[in-house]
Amino acid sequence: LVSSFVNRARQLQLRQNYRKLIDETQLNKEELVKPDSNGLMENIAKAHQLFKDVNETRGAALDSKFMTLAVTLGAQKTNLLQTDLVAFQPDEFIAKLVTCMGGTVSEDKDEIDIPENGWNVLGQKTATYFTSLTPALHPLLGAFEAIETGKTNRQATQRNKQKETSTKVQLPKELTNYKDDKKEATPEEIERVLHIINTFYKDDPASPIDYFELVVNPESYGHTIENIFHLAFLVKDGLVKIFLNENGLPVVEPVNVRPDDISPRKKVQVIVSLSMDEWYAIIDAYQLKDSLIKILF
Amino acid sequence: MSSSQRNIDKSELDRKVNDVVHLMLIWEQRKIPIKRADINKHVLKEYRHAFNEVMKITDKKLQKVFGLKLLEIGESGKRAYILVNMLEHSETQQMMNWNDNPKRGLLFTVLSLIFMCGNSMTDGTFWNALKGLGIEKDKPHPEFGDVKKLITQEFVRQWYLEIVKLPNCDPPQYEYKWGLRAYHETSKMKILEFVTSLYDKSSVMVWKSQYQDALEEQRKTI
Repeated sequence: LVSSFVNRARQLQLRQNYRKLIDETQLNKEELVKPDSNGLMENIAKAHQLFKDVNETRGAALDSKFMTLAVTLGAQKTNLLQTDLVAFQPDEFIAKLVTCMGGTVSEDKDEIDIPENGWNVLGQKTATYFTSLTPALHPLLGAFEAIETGKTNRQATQRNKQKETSTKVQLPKELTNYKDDKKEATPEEIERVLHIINTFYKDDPASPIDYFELVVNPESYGHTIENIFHLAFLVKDGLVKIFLNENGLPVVEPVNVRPDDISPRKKVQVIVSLSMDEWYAIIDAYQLKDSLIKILF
Repeated sequence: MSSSQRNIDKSELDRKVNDVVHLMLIWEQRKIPIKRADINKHVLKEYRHAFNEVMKITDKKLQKVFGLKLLEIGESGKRAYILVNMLEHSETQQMMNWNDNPKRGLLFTVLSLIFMCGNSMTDGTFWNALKGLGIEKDKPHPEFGDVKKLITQEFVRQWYLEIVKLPNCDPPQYEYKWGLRAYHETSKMKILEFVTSLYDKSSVMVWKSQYQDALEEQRKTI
């Protein structure tokens, strides 16, 4: 039996390797789906090797993530395999279009030179292949006020419309905004965060959740701050505790999960701040792609 | 008397029909399908209960005077109207100097690519192919400007293209398909004819699977 500490280190390494493999596969996916490339099979073999040593759920989850990616790419690859009399290759088609427009492509495919009139020429040539082209009418003197017209007129009437409706609508608008704001900090939202923490912790009871992995939403700084805010409420109410793990990183764990834990609850006041630069740095360091706490809307 | 029972008198009806005809012709400039709600808001207003009657006469007028047919496309929840040219194009159409030739050229390229590649392409393959035309997803183009916006927003809003997010993909991947309007303004067979002439092949039948696909579509529309 491998000791728990050594195993944890090994599992961490495996997870890192998985992440690297997934990123590499993502980066090279255009190459991998080409019919004459073997890269995808090689990567699947690599994942198979990694999986032999995985013995915890997070590693298995990463393996699933890789397999989903591999399967999607495999499907794309199959789609690109042609068994026609004449196989359609997008690159060939595009090259012929360039010629059709009177353009040239350099030897190394780096310089593509399409004359100024090229797209116009292509448009004219393809006009006959449309079964229906409707001419759009532009009224000489403009349309009536009530109807949207061409670009410039439309902007003017819309601006006017906006001006006169904005004063009327202001009052009702304020009220609805107020209602929405209330929603964010309600007990329901905090309850939802707690539920997410509990669910996640149930999957992997041996290890508490990394604080930053939990709160950071790589797509929204605002939402990240909201998550920190909600988490603070949970700690205040004693439902969740935050402490530093063996690596000195803050981790989150639901309270009262371990029945033998009778340590007195220390109440310590801590101020957490996160600037936008720090937020970027964390996304980079953890290589976060999406958030554990999903945005509701 | 409730508004739904109010009978619309002949002269008022005529006026409303003419307004709708005008509205449709002008709306066509943007190529964005017009919804029933838009027609009600801008023209019919208090006469919205007469919608069906108005639209029937509008269609007749558009056909008789302009040679344009009113077409309702889309399923419930996403229905809208577009105008379709009834007249078969002649050589004069080719000679006409249409306003949006470059955009049309790009649109045709995009539709051809998607159809010939099996009716759908992933965004990665799609943008990779366009590179060969000097089009980069995130670089401003000398002719089209913000190409990404043109293709992923304008063409989609005009119902020429449909972009669908694929499930279970991380990071997110998208599938590019023909939009409903594309099926009405051109056809798979037409695309095949173009590609065949571009490649200087003898017959459309050399594209085995695409030809079968185009035949299927022809059978359905007849």
